[in-house]
Amino acid sequence: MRNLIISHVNFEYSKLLDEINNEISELTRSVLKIEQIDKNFDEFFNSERGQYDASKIIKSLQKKDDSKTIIFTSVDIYIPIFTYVFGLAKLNGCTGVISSQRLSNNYYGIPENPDILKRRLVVETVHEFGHLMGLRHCENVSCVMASSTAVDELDVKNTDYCKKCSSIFINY
Amino acid sequence: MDPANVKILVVDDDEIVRESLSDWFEEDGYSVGTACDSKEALAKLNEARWDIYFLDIKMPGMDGLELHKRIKDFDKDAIVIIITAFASVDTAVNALKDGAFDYVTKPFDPDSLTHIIRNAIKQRNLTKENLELKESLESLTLPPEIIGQSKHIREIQESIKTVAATNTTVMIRGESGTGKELVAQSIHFKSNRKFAPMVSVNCGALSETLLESELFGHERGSFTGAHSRRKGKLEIADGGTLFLDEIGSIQTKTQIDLLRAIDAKEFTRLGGNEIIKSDFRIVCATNTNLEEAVKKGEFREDLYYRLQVYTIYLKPLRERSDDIPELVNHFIRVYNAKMNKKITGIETSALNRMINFSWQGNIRELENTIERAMVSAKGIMLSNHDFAFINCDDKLTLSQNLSLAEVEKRHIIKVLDQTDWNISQTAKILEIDRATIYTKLQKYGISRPD
Repeated sequence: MRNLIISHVNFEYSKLLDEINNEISELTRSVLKIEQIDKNFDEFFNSERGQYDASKIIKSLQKKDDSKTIIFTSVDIYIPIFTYVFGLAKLNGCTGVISSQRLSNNYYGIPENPDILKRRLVVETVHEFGHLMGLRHCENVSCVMASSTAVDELDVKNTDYCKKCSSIFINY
Repeated sequence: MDPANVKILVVDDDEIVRESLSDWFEEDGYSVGTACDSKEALAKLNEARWDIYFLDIKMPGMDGLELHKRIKDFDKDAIVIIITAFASVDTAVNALKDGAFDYVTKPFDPDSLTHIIRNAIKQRNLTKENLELKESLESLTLPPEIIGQSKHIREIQESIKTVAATNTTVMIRGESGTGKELVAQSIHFKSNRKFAPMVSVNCGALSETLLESELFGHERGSFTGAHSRRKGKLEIADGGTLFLDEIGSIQTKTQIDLLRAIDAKEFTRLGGNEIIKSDFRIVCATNTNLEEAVKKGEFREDLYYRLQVYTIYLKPLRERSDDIPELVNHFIRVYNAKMNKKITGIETSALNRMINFSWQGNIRELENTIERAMVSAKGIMLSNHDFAFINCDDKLTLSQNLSLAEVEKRHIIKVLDQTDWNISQTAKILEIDRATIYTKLQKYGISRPD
């Protein structure tokens, strides 16, 4: 039985969590838990970049059980070589992090649309859970595991795994 | 293509950079390796083939630029992407001038890395495809095989090798069927002109007007029937080789025009004024006595000397019978493939007939003979029965100054072969008794072949 958890730190959209949780449960065919964690990301803040180091965040949240956790946050996250990341999760890792900062229309000067934001968060979460379950990027552009580095790429792909990725995910 | 087949080596002294890039590429499905400095990178270079290298410029010890040069020395097609801090962009630009594929300035957008890596893979695939196409093209432009191991053939091959490397005009002389065009092809395909066309013109097969039009081309309306502009062979052979067979048969007017075109490497089409430039190399062939034609004034002396710069003489096949067994086996292989047959070779007695035959038509006649024999051959080896249509010794006696005893010996062998060494039948055909046959066999040292 897969033990999937979602959690949040400095997340502005906690009211969307229940809806997101339901959708992801359906898409991952799993029962997801929402867990509260007592964590502060201040130590991962880089004042020069005005961003939070995602690789340090996930390293600080290593777990010893077999659960897979995705943490939502609204702070802007990065890894040292990149200017930003939407989310980060290591292949077969136990923790991933997703930022709503660049998934929100507000960031691009467009009026906020909760439905679009929710869908992007769902797509990104299913994608990062896929990495935690050992899935690599998929060449099928409509699969949720297709690589996407811009929000329009997130919007065009499905929220679900393709047949091939789904079978790897289910058999993990 | 499967990303797992693309191998990427990340070389950076910063562990976070190595780890981040490695994780990123692994998520994309690539095979990734990392090295913390140039020394480790060079060691990994010797262990495996890498397609794409990401090199940090600033590293302790050997820097990224020097490592880039070392990698290029090792594999000139390697794709190297330089990782640089904003302050060292100028250095990265210099690396581009030295052949690096691209550079990225830290930190970079994830989508710019995605684009760079896609372009790098495209470049790598194009380079690989180009190499494969060149190799397949090389195989298409292999010089034709000249069969034979005799001293004469070895000398011919040496001459071809020598002259192919130059642009010298070559005259190939020899009887009909000795392989003059094959030698011309060999010269072309061993020269630097091999990727350009080799154009052949049989000068003896065309009337003077047609030959002029064939060589120089014509403009529309230049003569009755010239409905459209047509390029001449001299123009088509630009960059390549023009093979003029039976050069001795061209008429005086064409000789003058040809000499001018060879000297100036330019000419006009029939009925045209436009000067056409063409870089062609002339190889010509003849089986006639050009010197005699020059004496009689039938062939221009200046053209003769222009064409006679380097001459290759091909001996008639009867003067190099050592090559016949190899030629016979070669043609058996060729016609096995063409006729879907499985003839394994030729019986000794039949081969001896081939060796003793005079071959007035030279290799062409030998080839036709083998082809004809193979059409009707029933066994797995070609035998004398399959060559019943040729009369070797008649030709031999006519063409060679043989003694009466030699003619008698050869005739006895011929009849013995025809009767499959049935002495009674042979005696009957020769109208002598069996005892005389045995006496003759002893006298001439004739014994049945194995």
